[in-house]
Amino acid sequence: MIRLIPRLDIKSSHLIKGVKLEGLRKIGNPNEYARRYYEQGADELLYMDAVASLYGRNNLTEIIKETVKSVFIPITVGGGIRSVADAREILRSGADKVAINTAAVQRPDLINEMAKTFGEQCVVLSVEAIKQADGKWLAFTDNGREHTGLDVVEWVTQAVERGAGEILLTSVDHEGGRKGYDLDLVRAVTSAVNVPVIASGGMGEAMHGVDAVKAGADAIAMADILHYDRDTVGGIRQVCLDNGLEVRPPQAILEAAS
Amino acid sequence: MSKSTSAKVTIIDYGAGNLLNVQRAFEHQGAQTEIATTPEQVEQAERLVFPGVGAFPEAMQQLKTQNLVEAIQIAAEQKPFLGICLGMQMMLEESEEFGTTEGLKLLPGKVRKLPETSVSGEVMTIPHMGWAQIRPNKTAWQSSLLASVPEANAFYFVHSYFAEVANEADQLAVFDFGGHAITAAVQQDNRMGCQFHPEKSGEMGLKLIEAFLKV
Repeated sequence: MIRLIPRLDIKSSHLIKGVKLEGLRKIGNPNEYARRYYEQGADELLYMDAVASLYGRNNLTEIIKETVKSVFIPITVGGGIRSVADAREILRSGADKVAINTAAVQRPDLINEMAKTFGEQCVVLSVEAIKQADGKWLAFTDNGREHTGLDVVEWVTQAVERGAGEILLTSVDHEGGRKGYDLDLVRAVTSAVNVPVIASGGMGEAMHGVDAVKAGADAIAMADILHYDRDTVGGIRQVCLDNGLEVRPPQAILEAAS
Repeated sequence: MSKSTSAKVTIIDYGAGNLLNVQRAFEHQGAQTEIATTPEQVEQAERLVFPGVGAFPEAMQQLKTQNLVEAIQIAAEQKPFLGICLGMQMMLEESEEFGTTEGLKLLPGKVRKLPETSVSGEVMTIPHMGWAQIRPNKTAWQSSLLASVPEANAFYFVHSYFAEVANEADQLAVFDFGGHAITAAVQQDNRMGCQFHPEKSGEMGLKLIEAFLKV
C-alpha cells in the first residue's frame, strides 16, 4: 500500500516550513500537528531536525517522547544523527526509523553499521537532490547548501548495497514550490534501487502525489499542503483512491479517541 | 484519553527490541503494565504480552539465558498470551533464520523466510515493510481477537520471516504478499499472535489491544 507521510521540519521545538529548505517560517507546536495528522489517518510521520547538522546533534528526543504517547503509527526521525549511539537514542525515544544524510556522506560505513545493529528496515537514507545543467542530480547536505559531489543515482545505489532500507528523496529545487514533485528524479531513483522510495518536495495538490506514485514512489511526503490546511490527509487519500492507487482504506481509519 | 479497563498485562523483556512503544499502547488502552525479566514474574502474570524485534536465534538464546523458556511454556497453557512480530514467530516449533533454531513450541509450525518472488515471478522487496490488509483464513473471526476488525482494514508490518503454521485452524488471518497468502495472525485457545504491530497500526491496532485486554 502507498503511504501518505506528513513531513514535519522542526527548528528549536517549532514546526517550520521553508522554500527550497530555506527561509524557514514558524508554524506551530509539532506535537499538535502530529496528533492532528494521526487523527486524519496519516500512515506514518516524518520528523526532520532542520538545523541539527549546524549544531551536530539532533534535538528532537523530547518531542518524540511526547508524540508517541498519543500517536500510534511509525515515526521516522532525521537530522544530525552521526553515529550508532545517536540513532539508538532516537529509537529509544520511540522512533521506529532513523534517517541519515550528512553523516552517511562523510562516512558511508555508518549505513552498514546501522543496518547491522538495528536492521535494514530501520535505516532511511535521506538525499537532498539538486538538478544540474546536464540533467543529472547531485546530492547535497545541510538543507541543500553543502555540495557533496555525489551523483544521486550512484549514491543511492551504493547506499542500498550497504544496507539502507528506504530512501527519503527530497528535490531541493521543487521543495516549497507547490508545483509537483520532480518526477524525473523519482523515476531515475526508483528504477535504480529495489527499496521503498519516499518522494518529498513540491506537493501543491493531491494529484501531485498520484503523479509521484505513478512515477514509481512508494510513499509521498507532504508538508505545507497540510500545515497551511490546503488539504487533509483524508482528502489526499480519497484522491489517491479515485485514481486507482492502493492505499489504506478510509473505512480502516477509525476515529481516534480524544 | 485512556480507557478504564483495569486489566494487568505483563510484558516479557528479553532485550529484543524496544518495548516502550508496546507498553505505551497498552497503557493508552487502560492496562496496568509490568515489565518481566524473570520466570517468577512470568508465573505471577495475569496475561502475557511477548513482543520482539530482531533475530530469532539471539532472541531464543536470550530467553534461555534469562531462564524464561519453561516459565513461558507453562504460562501459555492457561493465561491469555499475545506474541507480536518476532514474539509470534517464536511461539512456533522452529525457525530457519540463520540455520535451524528451536522455538517455544506453543504452536505447531515453522518460521521461514518470506518468498523472494511473487507467484508471477517478480522480485519481492524484503523486509516486507508497510501496511497490508488482512483477511480471515478458514477460521471465523467472530470469536477471536480480531472480532472487531472489519473487512476493510490494514495493519503495519515489518518482517523478513513468516510463520508457516502446521494446522490451518490455527491460522487466524493472512495477508497477500505477491500472491502468496502469508500468516498475519494466529490463535489456538488462549494463545494468540500477530505478525503485524498493533502498537503501530493506528486506532485499529489499539482496538485489537483492547480486545486482548478483555479476553
